[in-house]
Amino acid sequence: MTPADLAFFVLAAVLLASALGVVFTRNPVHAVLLLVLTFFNAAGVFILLGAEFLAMLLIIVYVGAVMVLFLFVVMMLRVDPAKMRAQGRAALPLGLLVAGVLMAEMAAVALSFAALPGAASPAFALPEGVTDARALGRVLYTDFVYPFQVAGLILLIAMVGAIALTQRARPDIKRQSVADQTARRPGDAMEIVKVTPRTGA
Amino acid sequence: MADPALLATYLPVLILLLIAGGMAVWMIGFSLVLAPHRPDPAKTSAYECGFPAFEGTRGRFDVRFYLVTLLFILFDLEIAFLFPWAVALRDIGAFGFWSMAVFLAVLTIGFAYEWARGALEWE
Amino acid sequence: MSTALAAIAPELTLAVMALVLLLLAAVRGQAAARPVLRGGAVALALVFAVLGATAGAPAQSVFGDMVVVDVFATALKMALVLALMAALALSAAPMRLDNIARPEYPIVTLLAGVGMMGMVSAQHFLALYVAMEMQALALYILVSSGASSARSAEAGVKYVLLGALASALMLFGMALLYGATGALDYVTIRTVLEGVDAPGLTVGAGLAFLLAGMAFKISATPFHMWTPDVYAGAPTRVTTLLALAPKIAAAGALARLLFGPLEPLAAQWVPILVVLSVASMSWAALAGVVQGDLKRLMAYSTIGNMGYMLLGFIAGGADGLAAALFYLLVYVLSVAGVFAVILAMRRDGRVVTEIVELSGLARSRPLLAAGMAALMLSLAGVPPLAGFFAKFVVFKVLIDQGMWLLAVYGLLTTVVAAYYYIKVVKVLYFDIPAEPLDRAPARARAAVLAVSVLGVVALLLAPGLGLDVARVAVAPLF
Repeated sequence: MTPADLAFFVLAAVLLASALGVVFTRNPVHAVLLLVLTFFNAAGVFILLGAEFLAMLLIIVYVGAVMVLFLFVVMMLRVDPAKMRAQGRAALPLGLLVAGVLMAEMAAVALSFAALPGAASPAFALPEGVTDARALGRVLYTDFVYPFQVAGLILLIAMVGAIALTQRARPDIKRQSVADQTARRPGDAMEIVKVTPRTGA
Repeated sequence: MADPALLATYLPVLILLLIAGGMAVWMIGFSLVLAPHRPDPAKTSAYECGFPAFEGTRGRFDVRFYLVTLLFILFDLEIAFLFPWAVALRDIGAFGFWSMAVFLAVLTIGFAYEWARGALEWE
Repeated sequence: MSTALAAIAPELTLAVMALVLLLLAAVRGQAAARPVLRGGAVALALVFAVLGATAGAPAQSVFGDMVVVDVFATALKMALVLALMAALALSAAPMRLDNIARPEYPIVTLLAGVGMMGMVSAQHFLALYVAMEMQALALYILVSSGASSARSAEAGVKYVLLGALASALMLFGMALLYGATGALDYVTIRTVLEGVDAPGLTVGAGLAFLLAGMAFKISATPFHMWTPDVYAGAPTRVTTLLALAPKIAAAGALARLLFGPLEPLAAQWVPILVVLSVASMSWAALAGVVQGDLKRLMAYSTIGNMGYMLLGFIAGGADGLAAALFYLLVYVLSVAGVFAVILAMRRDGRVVTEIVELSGLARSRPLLAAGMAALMLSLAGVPPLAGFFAKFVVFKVLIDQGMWLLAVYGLLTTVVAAYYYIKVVKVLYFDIPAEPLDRAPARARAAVLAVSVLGVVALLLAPGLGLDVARVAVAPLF
């Protein structure tokens, strides 16, 4: 067993254990933290496969950003774990059935997998001496420009949608307007009155 | 498995992770084993200025936190697209450059919209 | 590159117009709601003109064979643009009346349209997947856009979760097919699959996962569970869009898959489609009977109609697909009118959607009632309306292929389903009148209803015409 093999088994074991923890832990915040651990281990497995860029992406995007969002969502929703558990139990038999069928199918495919004769395999091989980020960059912006631009539009939709759904017009709230503040002159707000003595204002 | 030479470059990362994990186990483990534990209800209850806690710790977060994180994710993803582009710019020429320029233009329009609509203000 | 851009000019136009309108929304804020809605209609008209101008161009594949532009794509895109226009026109009045006009919703609708147009042109798994995600994300947003309504939010969450599951299944299916064939583009996949006698388990599982995802998109039983809840929970202006445009896009993408790269696997996918179709027809007929809410009823109607449409796919060949396409277009035409009527249902400023609210509508609003009755009878398949011809054509291609049993079964479920359509007609004409509905002037709604009803009735004059158009449209796939 090489050190790489050993690393794989350790990473895979922790990955599976933490993934199970995500599903079975009672505290949703713990579940999110365990998911972070899962992603870290998955990133390790990616590195073992030579997919460095994907590993970094997993950490930058998923651990760095998506998990923060998940934490907020978990904290934003007032989840009652006991009630959720009761509902979950009712759906358990059906869920187990579906999961079982999927598992069986995946196992069967994994055991019998074979590329067809005449298959163009592998379609995208990593050229010798080129990092995977560079190999990805060589095709993503040229050969795959169409899906790339569509991905940009998807991000735009997400942006517009998030704002449209969460921003409510709130006329009751006073906003600060820096331009108005700096443009304000003494004459706008003050009136200087010459008061002659003993007559009052 | 990937090229062993590549994996060897990750040895320092592995050592760092081992040290970090070891430190965590060290600190939490030893305080569990060595420190005295004599809990009583007064010690374990949440402290809120001497009063019983008014509400659970699961208070609801404002939805605006969520908006901020979501916008952060979107720009984070944009950066993720920029990495391979920067690395491969020499190979992909003018077309690749303008391809990214269009992508960024679309997201900049989104950013202008976001700014103008006040999504970046807290009120 | 310029030929590629010219080929996708319709999508490009729509996307650029959406971006321009977004900038307008950024500058003018809430006040831009009406101009943006109008601008959206102008954009769609422009796209329709572009499509019309390029309709005769020879078929071509661009972007490294990822996107194909042929008569099939152009025809479906025209139908899509019309459906989007109807949905946009119908959304004006409710947005104004409920005081929730926001410029974002028309813009997101247009961007959803870009995704749907991408779906019918996709000739590559990656192009299909990103286009599909684009329209799905836009639709999730629209479904949740009800004004601070918990039902709308619940519908949105259900749609997102199940939609994400369907996407995941589909992506897994694509990955398996990629693993087996080593290709993502339809042409190569077809070549590889044609070269083997027994495709094996990997391909079979990939096909099953892929079809499960597609079945979700067209809401075929047993992947229909989201449909009634989402239809009922979403604001009606969005339900209108959901019932029309995504079905065209998904059917187009499905046709390209089944009669393109997966054609060599017909022996495997025909049984799957038979199960989906029979289940959809049966379940929609049975469950539709007990529905009291018009939007839920229309959800079951969608499920059932998708089952009938799949019969055309099962019959196979150019004739079968032409029948399916014809059926789809007649369905879209009728349903647009039905939703125009549902959107007219308001009493004292509140939206009502129960069927009983229509009681005796024939007394107070004879025209509206007559239009609704015609559309219901068409959906039930009563001759000589368009719905009858559509069903007739589908059953006929089945019988031509010797699939008697399936045709007879379809006919039986039609009879059961006719019960609930005809019940609506009965409520309209023979029940004790309820309080009259609000009268709000809405020219757009009247126009959509008129087009829909006239189309459904006028097909009688030229029953063969629609089918001929469908035949021309599907020709490039064979």
